[in-house]
Amino acid sequence: MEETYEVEVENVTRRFGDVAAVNSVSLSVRHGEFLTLLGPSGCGKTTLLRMIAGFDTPDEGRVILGGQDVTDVPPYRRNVTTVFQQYALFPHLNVFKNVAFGPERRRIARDEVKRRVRDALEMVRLAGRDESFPNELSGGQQQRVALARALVLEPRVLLLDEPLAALDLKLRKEMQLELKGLQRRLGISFIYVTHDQEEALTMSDRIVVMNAGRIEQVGRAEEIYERPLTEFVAGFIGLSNILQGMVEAMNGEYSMINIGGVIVRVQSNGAKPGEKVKVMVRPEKIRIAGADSDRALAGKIDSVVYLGDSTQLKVMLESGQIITVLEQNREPSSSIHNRIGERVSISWEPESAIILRG
Amino acid sequence: MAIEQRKNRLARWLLAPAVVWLTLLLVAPLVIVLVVSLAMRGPYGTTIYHFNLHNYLHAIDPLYLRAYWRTIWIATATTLLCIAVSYPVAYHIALRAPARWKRILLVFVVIPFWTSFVIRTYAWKLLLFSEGIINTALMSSGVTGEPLKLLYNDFAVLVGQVYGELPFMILPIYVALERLDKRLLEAAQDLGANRFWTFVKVTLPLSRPGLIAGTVLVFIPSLGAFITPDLLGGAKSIMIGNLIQNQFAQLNKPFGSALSLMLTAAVLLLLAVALKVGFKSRELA
Repeated sequence: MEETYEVEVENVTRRFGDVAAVNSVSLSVRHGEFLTLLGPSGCGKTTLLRMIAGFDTPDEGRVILGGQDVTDVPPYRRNVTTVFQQYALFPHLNVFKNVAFGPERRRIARDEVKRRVRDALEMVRLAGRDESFPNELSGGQQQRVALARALVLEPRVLLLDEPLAALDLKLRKEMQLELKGLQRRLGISFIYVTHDQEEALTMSDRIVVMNAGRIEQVGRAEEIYERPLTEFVAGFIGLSNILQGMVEAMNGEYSMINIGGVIVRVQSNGAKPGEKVKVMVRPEKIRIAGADSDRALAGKIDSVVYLGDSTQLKVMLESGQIITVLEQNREPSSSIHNRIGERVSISWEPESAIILRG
Repeated sequence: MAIEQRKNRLARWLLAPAVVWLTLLLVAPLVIVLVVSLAMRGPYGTTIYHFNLHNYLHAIDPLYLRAYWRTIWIATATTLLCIAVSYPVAYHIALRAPARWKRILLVFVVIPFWTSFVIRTYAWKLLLFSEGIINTALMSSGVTGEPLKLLYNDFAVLVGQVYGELPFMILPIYVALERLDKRLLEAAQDLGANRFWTFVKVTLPLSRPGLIAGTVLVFIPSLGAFITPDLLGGAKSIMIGNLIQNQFAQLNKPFGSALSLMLTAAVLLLLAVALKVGFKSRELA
């Protein structure tokens, strides 16, 4: 049987003038899933979210909520609610009335409205501030009101547009955990827009990486990090080293890649011998050994930065390319700066390197 | 410390022109009017400085109540009609019109100020009188057989007043709507409010400062209007403004002064009420 999705986006395109802010994007969100739209500003993630909410209409394609085509349905008849960037709380209404705004628009008895609002405020741990006006609350409290206001309607899907962007780092970390906990407890789908890769990695069940109006990759956090499909994804999430090479031979699930005259073994992605490819290795996957190791790239340590738990080294290869290496500081080290200029060779496990697409 | 003192001295010098200006042109005339209002009228327009409250008692004579009543209802009707006409205009300019049209539309709102109010009121006379453009058009198209009586009545005064005060209502409402955070409208729709409820629950309450400012700017000058009733109103369409003007024309300065002060007092009272009702301190930071 075919699984029904909470949200389906089918070949949606939205143009502003000549620019396609969202370019034939398709996406499905499962029930109870925490899905993050991740990308740099201007990548189309907010436009996509606005089309799911109904504030914007696609030029092409369809938006389907709970199996129903809602492409032309106005926002007030969609069973999704939004937590806005900067919250968009009603300044002329107090906390209680802000949260009651949604329920009051539906035909619900007043006592029931009151009960629901109280429950919602309790859920976001903001009981007792009913009478306060938004401008009397801190950023974190306003955030909670915005959450309560959206959740009180018991939506099937909650849309969040960079909801934590305005908070300071410590509060942001707290709210990340709280949001994730809330989402698990309620069992509803969250679609979360952010440009913060760390936020995406900590909270999401699946991450959709977007760039220039298109989806680059969809996957779980570790898939996105460990197996990025494109150079953009590799570069946007975490640190990465990208090396130019050519496929020499294929050997089962591994390819032999010639990088600057040295043959290295890398997990295959189907690229044929003779093809030019880009090989990506994360800095923490690289080992540094003394010079003249076999099947390793030779180079010279160019700089060393001590980061406390780890040390970041830049190694200049013979080709002139700089490779970033992250070493865990397992043992106390004293004279790290003496290593500058040292001749070394770098290597990695074949599984750790990825051949990028395109 | 020295810097503080110097700053204070500088501040005093900067305030000086305003203080002199207000003293000469506001406080002094008010004092003169107050003194004159307590005096008595002498023969041939002279003023006898024999102080009593006679003029104020005279002002509440039933003879004048009709003028007061007309003033209040015309000013009220002017304000309400201005709101009714201005809100859609301001709403359109602030929230609907494409960006490049906004400035052009605002210029249209302000263009009438390029011509003197008196001249524009005369223009209305040409539009409204029995052989005027409106009546000619109505009769030639056969809507009416004989000219409608459009001029020299309260209707004409109202038309002239609403026309004249319109920009003072449009602009403050426009400013309030322009400042409105558009995402609040989206938030309301997101929470299930259709366009009507979004307007009632969000747009309208948040444009209240503009409505109040506009009401103050229209209602108060309307209380003192005298050009419009003078030119467009009939012999019976007398408002307080005309009454005051007549007193000075007839050289009854003491009574005119008393009427002026009473009008000023009423206006101040209304302003105080408007400010108190209009701006709740808590929600408008």
